[in-house]
Amino acid sequence: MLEIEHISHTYETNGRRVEALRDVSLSIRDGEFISFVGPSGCGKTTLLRILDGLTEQSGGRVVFNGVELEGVSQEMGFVFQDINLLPWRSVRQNVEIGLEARRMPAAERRARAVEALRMVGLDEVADVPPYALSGGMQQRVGVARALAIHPKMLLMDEPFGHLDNFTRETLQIEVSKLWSKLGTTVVFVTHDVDEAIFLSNRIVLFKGRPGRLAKIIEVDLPHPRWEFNVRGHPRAIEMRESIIEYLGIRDEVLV
Amino acid sequence: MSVARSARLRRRPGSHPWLERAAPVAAVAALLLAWQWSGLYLNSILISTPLAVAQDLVQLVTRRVIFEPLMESLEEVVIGGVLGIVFGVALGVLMGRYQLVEKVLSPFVNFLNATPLVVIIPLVIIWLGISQNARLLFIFLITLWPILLNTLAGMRNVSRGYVEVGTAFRLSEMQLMWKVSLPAAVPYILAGARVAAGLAIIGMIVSEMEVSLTGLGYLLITYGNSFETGQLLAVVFVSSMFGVGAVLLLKWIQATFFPWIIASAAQQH
Amino acid sequence: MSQAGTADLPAALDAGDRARRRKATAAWRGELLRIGAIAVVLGLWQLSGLFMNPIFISTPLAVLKAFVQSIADGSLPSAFVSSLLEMVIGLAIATLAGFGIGIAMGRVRIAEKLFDPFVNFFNATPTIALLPLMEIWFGTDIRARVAFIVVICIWTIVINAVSGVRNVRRGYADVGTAFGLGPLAATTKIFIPAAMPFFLAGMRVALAQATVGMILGGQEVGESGLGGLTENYGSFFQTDYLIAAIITSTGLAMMLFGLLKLFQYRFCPWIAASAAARR
Repeated sequence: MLEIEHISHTYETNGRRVEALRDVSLSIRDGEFISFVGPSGCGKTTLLRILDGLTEQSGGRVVFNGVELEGVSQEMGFVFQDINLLPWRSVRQNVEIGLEARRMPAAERRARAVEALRMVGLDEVADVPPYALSGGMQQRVGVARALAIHPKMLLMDEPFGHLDNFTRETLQIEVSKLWSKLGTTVVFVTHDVDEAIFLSNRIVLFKGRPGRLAKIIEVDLPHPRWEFNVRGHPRAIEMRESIIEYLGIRDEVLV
Repeated sequence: MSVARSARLRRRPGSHPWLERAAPVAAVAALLLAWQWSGLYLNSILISTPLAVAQDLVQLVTRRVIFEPLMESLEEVVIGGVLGIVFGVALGVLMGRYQLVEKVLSPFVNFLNATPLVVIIPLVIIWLGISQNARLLFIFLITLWPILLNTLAGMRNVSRGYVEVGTAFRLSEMQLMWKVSLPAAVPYILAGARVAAGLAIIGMIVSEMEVSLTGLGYLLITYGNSFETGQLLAVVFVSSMFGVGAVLLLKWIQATFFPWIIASAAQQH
Repeated sequence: MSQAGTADLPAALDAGDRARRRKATAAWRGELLRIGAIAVVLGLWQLSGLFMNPIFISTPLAVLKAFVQSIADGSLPSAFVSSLLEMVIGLAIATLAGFGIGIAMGRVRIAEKLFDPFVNFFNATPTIALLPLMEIWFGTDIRARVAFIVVICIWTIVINAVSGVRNVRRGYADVGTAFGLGPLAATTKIFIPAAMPFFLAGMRVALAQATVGMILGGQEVGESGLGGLTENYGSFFQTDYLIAAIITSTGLAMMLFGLLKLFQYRFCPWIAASAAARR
């Protein structure tokens, strides 16, 4: 159970103080798939980074299973929007990096890495350099890297943002399957409303600058999601319209 | 992983603002003190002391010993450097624009570029004797290459995209060259000029060491030979100021005449 | 593919073939031109010997003869080896110390603040000017020359090391933090490999500076190595031998640059490959 208590974040740039997040409080249940959705600049990525400890919050605290989190937690795996595979390491070595930090012996690391790669279907290319892979495959390695440390939570920062539509849809299904198989809690940041509806139990809407938690929506669609046309489902369409209207995205686009 | 360890990771290493500001000053002060103190134990020939160097510097100025060599050095650097820039840009443009010229000249350009030009000094002496012309030639040669290569790179890198614009809007050859290729190559040329300035100063000092009875380089050799380390270091200091001055001058030129350049883009060479 | 499409195929293949052949002949012509230009220059050079005093630029044949003779009597090879040795030792010291200091400066704030004024000062100094000082300290032997080489190129190495480490892509640094690498592990496993392109670019400049130092040292501090040879031949107006020595020096420099490139290909293959993949 992750408790986000009154988190706020302000930073300075070019001499100006920018408030990225204001007083965000939220409880995340074990095993749920929860998405942060909102237009760019509303702080959802900042919040995700604060959860992982990559960014330090200005106020408030994060409590995970009763322990207040300070700094980077090894119970959480992070998947980056820019993928960030280290080009001087092979695919397998990239996946092993979290395990190296824990000083796991080599043989054990190798086994875990192969296991993680198998989960994303890439165990065959373990010894290949990352730049030889397509964008979609690279991001799958990114997911494997996060999974290898057997995290209690998976934090994904717009992981498919830089990929083309076809790849994105394939990977969405893969993530959904992985989640239902592993049962890990997933916090997923995206600006794509359809993606959030497809994947999540709950959607948290962020709005405005400074970013505030605006509304939480329960996604009451049946599972498994990949076995029917989610986009065409009347309930999904209803949710999509109400979210878009609520966030005022259409207005923003027209103006 | 314990919370304590993660907390340690979080704090940015070494973020103590007052310490940071004091550190460089303290370091310089500490070094100067250590240096001065060493004078009590070490033969002053080795590194002299800051006070002695400062004294010698003052003397060099008040006794006007430094002015003539300084002026001569300045004159040589400027003349040699400017000639190098002019020819470097001209050749670079020609090579960039005309494939023929590039094909013909490039083996020689590449060969001479790999040569550590210091090695040519005895040849220059054979040609022009121990004279100012010899030094000018050397400085000219040493500044020529970075300018030429950078101009060439600039011309080449501009080619496709901008040239297509020029063609699409029916610019003539000359117009293309002057209005598109050359201005776009300027950042590269300026980056080359930065390198060339440093090299010109080096060329000046080296040529004055070997091909001269005057100038700062000559002073360096003389003081070195007579183990007058204080004066030697004073002249070294003056030479540094030369270098700093050149960098500042170039920065000013860029900011004043070419404010549209984002300097880092052209630093590739 | 439509019927119309397949009908055009033979013609299209032909046109592609023709274009390729045209490009090949153009490349051929370019090479011929280059070889021709070199041949012409060599020819003119040789002819000049008939009109000019050979002291000035000698002739290709004379230079060739001088080459052969100086190799045969061992003077050129021994000078080559002695210069190379000084370069290698000097570069090794400069590289180890330079990268050590630079990486420390890039990763540890205090180190940066402490060393910064010195590095910047010496980087702006025409370090050539320190040659007489090296002589005072080390006398006129190999130690002075090696020290000179170190003093000339270490600043470039330091500055590029600092730059490289500081400019590592933020995402890579994040990976280190997110997956729990401590500062030392992050430095060795992420920052150093990520900064290699910068390091190598700095090494290229340092290499050029070091060759200058090697020659100048040889010319001024005792008459040693290739620098010493040029000095010697120069003072006796033996232009043919002098030019041979100059060419050898260039060869040495080219060889070292080539070695650096080889190092990059062998140990850092990802730099070229990932750049190409990105394009």
